Amino acid sequence: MITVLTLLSVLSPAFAGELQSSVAELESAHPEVVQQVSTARLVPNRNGTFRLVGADPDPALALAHLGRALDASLPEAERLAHARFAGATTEDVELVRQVVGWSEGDRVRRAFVAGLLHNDLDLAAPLVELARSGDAVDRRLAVTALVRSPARTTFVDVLVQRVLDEDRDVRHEAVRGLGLVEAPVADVLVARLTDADPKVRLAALRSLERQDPTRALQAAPELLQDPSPPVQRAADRLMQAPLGPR
Amino acid sequence: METRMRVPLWGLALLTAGCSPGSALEWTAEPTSSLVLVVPNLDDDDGNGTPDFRDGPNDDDDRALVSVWSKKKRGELHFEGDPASIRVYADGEHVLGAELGDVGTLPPQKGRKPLEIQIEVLASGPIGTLVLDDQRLTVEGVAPTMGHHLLPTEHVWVLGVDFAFEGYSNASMVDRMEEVLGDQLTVIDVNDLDYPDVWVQDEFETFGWWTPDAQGQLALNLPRDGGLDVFVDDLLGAGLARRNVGRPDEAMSADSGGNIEVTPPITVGGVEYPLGRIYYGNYEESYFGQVYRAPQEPLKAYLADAGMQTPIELDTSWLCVGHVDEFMTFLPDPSAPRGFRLFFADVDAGKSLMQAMPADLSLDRYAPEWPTGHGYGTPQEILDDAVLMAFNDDVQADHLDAQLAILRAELELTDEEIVRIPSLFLEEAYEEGVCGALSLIPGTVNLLMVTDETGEGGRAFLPDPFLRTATAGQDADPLISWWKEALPSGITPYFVDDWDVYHMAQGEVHCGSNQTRTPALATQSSLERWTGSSEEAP
Repeated sequence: MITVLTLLSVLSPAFAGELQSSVAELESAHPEVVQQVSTARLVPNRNGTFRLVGADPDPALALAHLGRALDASLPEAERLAHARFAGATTEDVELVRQVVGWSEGDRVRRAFVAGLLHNDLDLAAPLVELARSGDAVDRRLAVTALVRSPARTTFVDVLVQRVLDEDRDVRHEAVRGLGLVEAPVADVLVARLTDADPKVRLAALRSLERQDPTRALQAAPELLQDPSPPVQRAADRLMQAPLGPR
Repeated sequence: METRMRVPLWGLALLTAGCSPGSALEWTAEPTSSLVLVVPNLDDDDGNGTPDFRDGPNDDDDRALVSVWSKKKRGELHFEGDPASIRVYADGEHVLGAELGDVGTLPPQKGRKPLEIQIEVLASGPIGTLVLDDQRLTVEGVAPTMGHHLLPTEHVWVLGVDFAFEGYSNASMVDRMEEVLGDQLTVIDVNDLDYPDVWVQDEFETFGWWTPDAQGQLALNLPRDGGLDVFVDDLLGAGLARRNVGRPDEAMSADSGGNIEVTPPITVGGVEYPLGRIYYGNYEESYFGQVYRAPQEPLKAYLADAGMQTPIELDTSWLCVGHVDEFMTFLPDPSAPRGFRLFFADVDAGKSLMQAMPADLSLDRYAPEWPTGHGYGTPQEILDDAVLMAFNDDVQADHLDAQLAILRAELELTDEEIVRIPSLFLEEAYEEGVCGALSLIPGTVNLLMVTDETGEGGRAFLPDPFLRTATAGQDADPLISWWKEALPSGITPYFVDDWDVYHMAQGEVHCGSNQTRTPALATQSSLERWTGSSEEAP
């Protein structure tokens, strides 16, 4: 069994080529890691992605999985599966910080971050940083992770910033999150009722229902004229049963 | 397969046909159309790997039989159309079409007996017109149709995986299916594939060829081209044709079989759909800066051409996988107003079920963290997850209700015909961002319906929802109890463990299985409405 302390004594927080060197050192010092990581079987999810089965969720192996994610000789599907698994199982916050700050290897990095959504670590700092990154998918994933955190209210400022993001999906996630924080955000949500994207407008109405049902009901009549049928339906439903969200 | 067609008596040419022994439909009225429908000869009776029509004029099966009179001793038969798509035989001799071109001489008529000609065609759709003297006979290859859940199941496929080392096995599910279905089931050998592609439903869709007294099967190889593609390539055989559709290099999730289903027979607004209506999820997806629309246009066009099954388009963009089988199915129920009920996922029912459970009940299957479980140890933990509950509320209000409204309108469904299944969803993310909704409680609507010969019942294999402790039996499961009350009385349920291989991989039992059904036979009136052919005799 590889302990976290053992790993830390072998590795230095580094990335890409440096990380691969670190993994090689690890595997040389602890050859059983190779078997533990490489014998996991790759099986298809229904949406076309792949996942690992039979992989040991020992956090000490997360680095080795990340090493396989960086192995260019492997098929991309396998690399992404290892990256996702590493994100879900790591307990090394410094490693997370290194990964999210990695400026290359977009899909592997994103897969790792997607895996973080299954991780109970306190990852506020790296995720807040990621929510401000230059990559829209990273921002989407980071905002989603922050919203899912029990401490989401502490990230209100980040979410308020992200409702003005240039990426529709980032705005959508941030608007959804604002419906679940304990903070006075109704004004922000009202402003999003005129967002250029119908998905964001719908989420804004739903979140406003949660935060301030009275103001949502006030906004509903005008939204009956929204060009988007889902927004119209949501407004109509609100006016039919103005008792707050379901 | 032999098709016999009765057509009108007119002039000096009498085209008649009798029904083959044991045919299911008899022509009792004087027909008005000079039309012969032929099942395309695309199966492989001789097992040489080639559709039989392409083997040349050797296969004496799969032909339509028509009796003719000629004004002349030796009639001259002409064909208007592409002769490469037809062969005509008389007295067992190949006389016209394909290798012989568009003109042929019939053998001499003997006394007052009509000549019997046989017609073989290459494809579905309009083939052309046979002309004998001043008589004309329209020939069409009948279109294949999808089999709805009120049609008897003929055969079922599932992939068997048993990797004990990795704890990845569907052996208990497959064993149960084998026990119940026996020879009706084929378990695909995983060693025949490059990787354990368990999504048998998604790789191909099955259709039936039908004419009033002949039938066959077609496996439509969908553009998915996953690990099961090699299996589908081998499906061509006696009575089973295969064709490809779509562009594999542009395949999206919605091009999969789990996203293409069909309603039972229905009449809506006075319009009869005797073979039901196809329905599928339709959406746009942006991938690496390019917009893809799914299902692909060639696939949508193919489905639109399926006989009389005018498609209904639903929105499945809110789902991670994006298939209609994730939230709805139709089941036979003779006690229902129109002989079926729609079983439809419902979040409110799911929350009510969860609230009625002991708050601290150990949900041992759900408790482990991903990728083994969902990280929820008790019903209360699920209900206390504000993000999860808000997401489910939005799924119900913004998506499920909207799709049900479409179905109500398109099918004139009443409340009595709708059964709401307790369901809860979660949201998954992957390297492109948030993926969409997946089943948190195993999607029990995603079931395999094995219909019996009556078409009114049968056996259903459903995912075990495991809403109980590890040591409790299925009798203790509230959702299983719910299903036993809700299922039509003619359906026997089997709840199978699909958790590791299917549920945690974004699918369930229906996704992991496929089947053929006895092709449906249509009525004369619906047949003529579809073909648009009711020619007056010259």
